[in-house]
Amino acid sequence: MLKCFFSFLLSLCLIGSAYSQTLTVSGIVKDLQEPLIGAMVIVDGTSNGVVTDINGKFSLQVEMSATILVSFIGYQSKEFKITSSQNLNIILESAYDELEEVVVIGYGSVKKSDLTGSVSSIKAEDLVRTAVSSIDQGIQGKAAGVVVSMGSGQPGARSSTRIRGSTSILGSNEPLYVIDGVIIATGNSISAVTGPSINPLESINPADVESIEVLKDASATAIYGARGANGVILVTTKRGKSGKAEVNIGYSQSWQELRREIPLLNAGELAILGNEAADNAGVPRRLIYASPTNLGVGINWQDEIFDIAPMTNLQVSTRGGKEGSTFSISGGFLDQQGILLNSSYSRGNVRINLDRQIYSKLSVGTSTNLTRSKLSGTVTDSEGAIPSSVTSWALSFNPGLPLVNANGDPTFENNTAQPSVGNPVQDALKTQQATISTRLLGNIFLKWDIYDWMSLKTSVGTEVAFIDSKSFIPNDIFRGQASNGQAALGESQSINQLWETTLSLNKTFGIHALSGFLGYTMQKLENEFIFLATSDFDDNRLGYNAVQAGKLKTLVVNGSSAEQLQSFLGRINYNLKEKYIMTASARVDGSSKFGAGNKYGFFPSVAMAWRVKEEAFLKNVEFVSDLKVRAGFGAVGNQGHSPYSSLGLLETTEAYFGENIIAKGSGQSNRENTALRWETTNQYDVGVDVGFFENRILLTADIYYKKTTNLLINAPLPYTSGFKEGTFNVGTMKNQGFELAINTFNLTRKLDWKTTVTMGWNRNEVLNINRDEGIFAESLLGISGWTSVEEGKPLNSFYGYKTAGIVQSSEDPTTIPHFASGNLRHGDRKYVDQNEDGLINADDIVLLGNAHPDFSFGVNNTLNYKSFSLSVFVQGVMGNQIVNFNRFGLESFNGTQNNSREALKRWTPENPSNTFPRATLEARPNILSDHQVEDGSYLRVKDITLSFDFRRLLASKNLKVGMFQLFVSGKNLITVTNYSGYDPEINRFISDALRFGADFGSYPSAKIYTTGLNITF
Amino acid sequence: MKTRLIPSLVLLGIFQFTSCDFLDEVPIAVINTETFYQTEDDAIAATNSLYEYLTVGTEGIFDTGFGGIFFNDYWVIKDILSDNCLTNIASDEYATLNEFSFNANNVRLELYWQDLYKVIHNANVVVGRVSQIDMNESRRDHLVAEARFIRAMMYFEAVRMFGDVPLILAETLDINDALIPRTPSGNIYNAIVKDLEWARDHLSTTFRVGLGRPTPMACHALLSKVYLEMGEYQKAADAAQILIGAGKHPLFPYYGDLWQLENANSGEIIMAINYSGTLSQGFKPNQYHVRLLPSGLAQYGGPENGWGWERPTENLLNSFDPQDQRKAHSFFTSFVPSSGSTVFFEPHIGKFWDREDEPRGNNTDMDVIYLRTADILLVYAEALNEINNGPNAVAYDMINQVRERARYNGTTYLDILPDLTGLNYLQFKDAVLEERRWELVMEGQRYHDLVRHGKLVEKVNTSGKANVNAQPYHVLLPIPQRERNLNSNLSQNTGY
Repeated sequence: MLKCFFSFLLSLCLIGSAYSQTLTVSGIVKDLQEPLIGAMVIVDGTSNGVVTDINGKFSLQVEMSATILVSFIGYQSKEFKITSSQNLNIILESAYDELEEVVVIGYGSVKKSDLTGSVSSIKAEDLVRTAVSSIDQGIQGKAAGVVVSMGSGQPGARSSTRIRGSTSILGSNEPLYVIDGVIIATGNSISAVTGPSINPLESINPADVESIEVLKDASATAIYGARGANGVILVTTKRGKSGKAEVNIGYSQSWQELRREIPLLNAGELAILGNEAADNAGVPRRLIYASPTNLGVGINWQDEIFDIAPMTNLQVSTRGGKEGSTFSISGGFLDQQGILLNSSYSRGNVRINLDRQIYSKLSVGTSTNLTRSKLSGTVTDSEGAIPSSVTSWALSFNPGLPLVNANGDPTFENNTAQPSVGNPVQDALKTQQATISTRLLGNIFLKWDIYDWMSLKTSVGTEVAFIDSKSFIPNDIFRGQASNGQAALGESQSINQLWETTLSLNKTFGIHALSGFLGYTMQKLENEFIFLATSDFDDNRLGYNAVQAGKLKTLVVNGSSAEQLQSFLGRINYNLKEKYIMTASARVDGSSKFGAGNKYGFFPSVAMAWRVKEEAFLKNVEFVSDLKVRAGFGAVGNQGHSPYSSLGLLETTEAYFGENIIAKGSGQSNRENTALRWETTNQYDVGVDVGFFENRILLTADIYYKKTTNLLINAPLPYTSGFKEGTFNVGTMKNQGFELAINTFNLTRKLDWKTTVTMGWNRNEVLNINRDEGIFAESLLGISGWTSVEEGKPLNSFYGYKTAGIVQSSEDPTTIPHFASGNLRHGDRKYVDQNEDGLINADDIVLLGNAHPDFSFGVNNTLNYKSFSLSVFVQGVMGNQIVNFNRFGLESFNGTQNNSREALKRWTPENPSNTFPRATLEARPNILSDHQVEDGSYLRVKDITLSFDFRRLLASKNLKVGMFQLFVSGKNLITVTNYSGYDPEINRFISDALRFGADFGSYPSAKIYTTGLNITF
Repeated sequence: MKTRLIPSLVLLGIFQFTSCDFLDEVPIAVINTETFYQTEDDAIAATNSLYEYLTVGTEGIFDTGFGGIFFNDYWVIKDILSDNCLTNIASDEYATLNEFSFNANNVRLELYWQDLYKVIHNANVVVGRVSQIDMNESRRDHLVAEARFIRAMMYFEAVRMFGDVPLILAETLDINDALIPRTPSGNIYNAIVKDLEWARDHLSTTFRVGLGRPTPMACHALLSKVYLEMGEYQKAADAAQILIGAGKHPLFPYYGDLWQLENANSGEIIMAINYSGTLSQGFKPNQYHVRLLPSGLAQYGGPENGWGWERPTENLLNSFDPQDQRKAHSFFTSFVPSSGSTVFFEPHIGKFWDREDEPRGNNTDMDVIYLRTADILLVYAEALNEINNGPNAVAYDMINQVRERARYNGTTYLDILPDLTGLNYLQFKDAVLEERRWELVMEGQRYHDLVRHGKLVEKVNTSGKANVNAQPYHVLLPIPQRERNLNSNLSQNTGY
């Protein structure tokens, strides 16, 4: 009856409209539960539109036959063709129907339900919610099996990402990054400055990202052929949508502080220790430690170099367009001061994404991003043979020295040891270092929809990076003493050009759906650099801006390299009855870096999925709402060795004839190896995607096995060949693991609660390196072999001696095995004599740990209640170790530098510690032991964000906005770890694949408190 | 029409731009072997590289392998493997050499082997490739002769230290060519002689003369030493006589003149491996002052960065006539600061230190003398004694010239070290050995001299060096184990 009445009304309206050009449409917009405030209702193709009010209602004048578009962030948009004045009851459905979601894969996209490979997706709102300053931080903990390690707390510094473990020893283990289809060249960062290198991913502003897809298994990455072995990260930026232009403004202000200080001895305590060390060594006490009680507490030099630092982030964007012509323009600015004096990072970027249909079947588009950044830093992360980071200096500096001496001059250097170190405060203030980068990343494409089932697309992408590094050490600080001031400049220029043409097909024949593509690509990467350095300055004023002021030219070097790739590729997807899905892909990759005999590699893959849920026997099983089983195999490569490795190369030599003639020469440095080729990783993956209770619980699990063969190894050559070693494809390595991702929609009522859990386990093992001895990484603090590649052990393992406590007074030191150098005394550290030969020597070295976690996880909880939203993101790793090189200095117990407060627990006859040795000035064995190898596991509340959306309040005052959100957030607020250093998220040699997991003189990471707002209108 | 157009467009797209040479590598900032060895400049550059490999090698400065053989091992190893010197550096690799307890894993010997063959390889490259370059023939021959001379130097080191070694005289393009068995030492010596004779006949006297590079005179000098080792005494004497007779390298009047920087590459010095601390600014100079000068003098304005690792044995010090000017010059026992009282210390080897020119030591311009006249005078004397089964007048003249110079303190001749006379064969032979010991401390000779005279075990074990235990098999050093692991054709010397 009521229905009849309504249809009558409706027909009246229809009649009414016939007489008028303008109709009034009103209605209410809701989701499944409640009215949506601030939803956009616009007339398609015009700027005519309104926003729903506090009750979700709207009213709009439209022309006859107009189409209105109703949209709201997080919901699927709906269109209505208006033929009469009417009152619409519009229910928008959540955009997050996980299975209908489209997932970007290499050279295309598929519905998530049709996916056959292992792909993790991270959506824009997950990145933005946590307000990260680079996308690698946004990936951390969000994708199962992806481990992101932060290298340094220096703002703007690079991180390292491992997808399903490491596959290479000589080559890169970083994934391939593809931004809007452009394969970018990561790692093109140079560093003439001594400090962390700049993050190459800075060319992508997280605020511009629509989605990030992580391709993990080889069936997904094989389409990237010789570069797919480390996984692929696809970044898709936001593009305009037709409709009324939307403007977004985001602004936040943060304060950062040092997470924790390392507890150090005060001046008096150090003096007591220094005297004890002298007494125990039988040498005279030092004058500087003469009266410990008068020295008092002194200065904690950490307080003098760390401070609370602000960070400002501003993002502005607008998106919109008309049918066939859309735009997205955005700009961002980040200004971050570092917690360490005089360090900072600022970045600005502008992005323009345009799409235009120029003819009915022809469209063009562009994505262009320009980024400029400046990283300024004091000297950190520069430890090698001797400590030279400001952070190390602050830890070692005598707390008894004043900031300024009696003459009013700043304290110049430490007085406890030779070689000395400089005043860290002066060094931080006066050493100038900057890395300025300018990066352009853009592509243009032309797409021709030849038929509705066939299209041809060609795109040209370019990435240009100019990186300019400068440093200046003035002559009036300790660091500049030997050189009398020193300036260095480094400039690099990288150009990456990519041209890709693909022919895509997509056709359904009854129950058979076939899609796929064929493609051809060419890529060229060119790199040029120049370094120059001068020293001996009389005048510090111009610094690195006028290096010619240095009297001595100490370095002039330049060089260039280029590499080219040429590839043929294709993929077929076959879908039978929406139940059985098969994907096969292949890429033939030619790379200039391979030897003349091996220019081309073939990388095939095949994967199948079975949507079991579609089978009759599961159709009626209510609680299982989805079930898909996947299996895939693929062969992928890694060509991470440097260009020209296969050629016979000459090096420039320099000898002298007499005292005045320089004889430059050219000798052979690299043996020609025409057989040099890519490393091959064969990967098997079996996965399952299950949904329970109408997909309230979604679970994805994958188990994988990766075996890398033809591993590039620097194998030793007989010296009679004239060479020490050569690069050969002879090694093998494996990774195996398990990944689990769980999404649960715990509550979907007024209080909406969603949980996302990711977990990954990975085991790596080096199977064969084809040499008798391990491959030693570069030594640190004079300790060689602290990390090396050994057969049967995981990559990035640590080796050294196991400690066996301290020699106690009751023991006879002469009966205890010890190193050949020096005798053992009471209070000295004992080591385990593994082979029980009565001696401690290299034969007693054992595996002490590994830099990679066994297990990594992330848990994100999001709660929404009315206008409130709370998200808590917890992330962590387990089972990895960190070599804390700072402990060698912090626990020197010899009075030549300040020590950590652990020194108070040192062995004395009265305090028979079994962990910390006695104080002594005598030399101790310079070796790595399990005492310096610490558990690096941590659990960290990475981010807590609480936001309130004022939309509802504003709407009641007739101020209509799409969003007006105010938020507060905290990062790294709570950390649970046993690691004794500044922070467990540390990796001193982030760019060196063989020296993972060291902490030494690094820039510590910070806690960050942020407030900000996001407005959309 | 349209249907045919599309595939052809696609094919065009795919294949039109597919070019065969797109993937060729053409490095523009580094030189590759394919495009090098074309011009006279290339020939010179290839030859010049040998001198860096002799002096500093190319390993990184923090690598244990840094330094060519003359950087330190040439003059350190030969004297710690003897009764002359001891080392106190806290490293097994030197300590075991010092005590004759080394084995085939000794890193110093491995690095020595590495350096020898690295130079040999690059010399082979010059010999093989420069000969093919279209350039002025005499200059080309000269460059090849330099390379052959240096190759002979390396094999002379190798054959005396390791005995039979793989003789490789061509660039190893195929790795298998480097995996050959050991060549009998007789063949090695023949190859050395052949190289030196060829070099003697082709070294120019106008192009790239001296200053660390070989000369015809250096060929004669080295030939005399090689023949002496071979037991070809007449040939040794002949070669020595040519050198001495030519008179181009007269003895300096005072022993210490040899290591005055102003005398570099002149006078008695027939050939020295040239270093320039001035030009290289840093780590490239040889380690004479760093290794040998005592520590602790920097604070008095004396040498910096001295470590005093190798020091003379008591046995060596006591063997000298107390007033022998070689003793006075060779050992450094006290230092007079500009203010304050004289500092005394254990004798250190200070003979290579030009105190006036380089008062702070460390970074140095000092060269490492490879061939000098006094050495050859004694070679000549030794050879003549062998030929005639006793010294003749010329033999006495040779050794007495050396002794005479040792009497001269710069102003007068002291009444010491009388001219030798009236010795029989064995007495003269011993006298030459003793004279060489005093004359050539730390100049890379002593181990070879003791071995040649068959007195290694006797002299070393009675030298009073702590823990020393020389055995008859120590006349040859072990083939480095690493090399044997990689080349199964290499046998080991007995005893190791």
